[in-house]
Amino acid sequence: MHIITKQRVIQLLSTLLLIGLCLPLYGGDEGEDSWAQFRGPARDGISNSKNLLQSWPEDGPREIWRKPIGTGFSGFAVDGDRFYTLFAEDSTEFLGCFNQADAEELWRFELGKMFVDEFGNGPRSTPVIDGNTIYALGSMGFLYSIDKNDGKSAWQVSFPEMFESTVPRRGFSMSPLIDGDRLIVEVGGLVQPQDSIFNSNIAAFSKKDGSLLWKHNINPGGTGYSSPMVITANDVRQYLFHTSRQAIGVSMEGEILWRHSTLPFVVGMPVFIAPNKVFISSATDEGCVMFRIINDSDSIRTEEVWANRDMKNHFNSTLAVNGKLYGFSNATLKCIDAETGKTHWRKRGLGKGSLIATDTHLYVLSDKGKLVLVEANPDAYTEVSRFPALKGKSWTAPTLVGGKIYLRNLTEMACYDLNATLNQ
Amino acid sequence: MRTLLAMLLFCALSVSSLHAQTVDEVIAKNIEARGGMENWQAVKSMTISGDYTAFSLTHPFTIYRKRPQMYRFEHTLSSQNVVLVYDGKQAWQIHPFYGNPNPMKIPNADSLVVERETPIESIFFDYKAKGHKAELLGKEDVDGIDCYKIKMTLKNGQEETWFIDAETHLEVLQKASSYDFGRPAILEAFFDDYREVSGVKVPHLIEIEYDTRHRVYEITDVVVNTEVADSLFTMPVVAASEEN
Repeated sequence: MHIITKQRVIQLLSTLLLIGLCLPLYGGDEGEDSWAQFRGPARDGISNSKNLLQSWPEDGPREIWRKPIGTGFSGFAVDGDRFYTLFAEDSTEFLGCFNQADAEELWRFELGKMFVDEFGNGPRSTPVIDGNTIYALGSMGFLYSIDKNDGKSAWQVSFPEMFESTVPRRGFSMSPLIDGDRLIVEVGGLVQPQDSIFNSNIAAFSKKDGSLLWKHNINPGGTGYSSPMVITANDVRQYLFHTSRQAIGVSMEGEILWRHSTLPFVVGMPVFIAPNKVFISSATDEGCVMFRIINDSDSIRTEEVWANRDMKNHFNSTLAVNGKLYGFSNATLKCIDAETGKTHWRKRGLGKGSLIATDTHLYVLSDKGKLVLVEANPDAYTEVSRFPALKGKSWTAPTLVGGKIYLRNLTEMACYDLNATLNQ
Repeated sequence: MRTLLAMLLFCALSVSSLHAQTVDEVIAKNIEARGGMENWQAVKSMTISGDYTAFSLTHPFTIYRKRPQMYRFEHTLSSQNVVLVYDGKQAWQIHPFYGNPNPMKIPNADSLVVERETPIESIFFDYKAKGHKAELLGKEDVDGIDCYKIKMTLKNGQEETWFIDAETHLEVLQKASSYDFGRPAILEAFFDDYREVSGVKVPHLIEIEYDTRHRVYEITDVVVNTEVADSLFTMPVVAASEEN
């Protein structure tokens, strides 16, 4: 018989508290139903929402709200009874804080001049929430730490001033990552094509005061559009970047662990397949590559596992469910095998869509705003339900948290209730 | 002896099977399925209109085709009006993406892309007389459709691969080398929703992917042999003062 003494209880609680304090914070724990950053708790496009409707009525699930919003491609970060996204109005970009129940705007914070582009104006980056702070990056390269309750800024960093960064052709689009006390982001660099200068830097800032902790000039390259993520490959926790034409593993302290030359024009996020594989997809006809990270006794190296033309992510990303990769190869939704690269199925008719997933279903948003529920089934494209959720060009991937799915495009945002219990 | 007979029987069946799949037979069935040579030869002009999707935005479009080799495509790209024309000898365009609002000749590589769109009928019609070569590469599945795969080598040396539905004998997919703003790209064009118009069958849904591009033609109207003025295809002369 075990007897638990008061002293033992205090000891256990202290240990648990210590473990809790030591746990890294990056937009929520991987297993919890949260969506406080770009692409969800693990930045992999996977939602941990449970008890969701297994099919939808013909005219769609219950609409909770629908509101106009300024232009932009930013996703949502959701926290408690509020949500946040970036948008632009009257030639200015903003971080907006909204009430989750009715999408009423509570406050907005100015991020700088609106980015203008023939394919859609406004910000591309998604903000990240950490405790009482939200971090947001405008298209012109101004990074802010903002109190999420009152919208006041604690500090800011200008990439053009600090790193001589040239605004990329499609604007600063990467979404900052919070990990422990660090804010991780690609900050760009000086780009002068006429002089063959293509710099870019990856960096870590103190999330408390914005001071620079470490940086690396990734040359040659020019600024990428993909965002950093945390992976644990072969038991080594590290940051995974994809900058122009190369994937890079960086230690928590800023040491470059490995580099792997990949493909040009990579916008989509890398997909990490535990314990040690990384999938990268290019927007070009060169397609995609899967490589492996190998830890030798004194160094870390990489080797290609397979490569083919079967997955060409343009501006949205592939994700993995049960060892299968699902993504848009330009305008064709595909399922391919992570082990072999072999295509299981392909489905056209959804345009240049985007997707997120749970462990059983894909939530696909067509580029014209149709939301489609598809089984995550490698045997065949198995569509369960679809309905028109947004009007017009819709390039921002959905957000699914707390049984609600949040959608937006360049003109409107909407929220639908997918909770099975509440809809019975 | 029984083994020998079995082998002979197998060979006979194989020859018979191969014979059923000669490229000219597949092409003949395709031409018949599309309405037949005679009906297509009677088509002197064709005006096609509907909705055109590019960059995930949909706008109306019109295509004019007129024999012997004239083509005009009017559409909207990212809210700007674009005109692409082949006048029988050269391609020209009005394309604000090039930073010039005036008509201008299309560079050689992109010109081939426009020229390829000029024929009223498909590549298979009278292909030998046009100097093309065809080779049957077997069968392949395209989106669940059992297809004949045909390699076409054009008179100009370019190669295209076509996939013909083995049941309906209609084109399903075209794969070809192409160009996008002068850069080489691999084009895939999917054809669907064939409907009969004036005795010929025309695909009413065409989806094209090349490089990062995605274009969809949703055709609502096809008009055959209405008056299409030659002036539509003539490159306007711009006064020197208007040139950039």
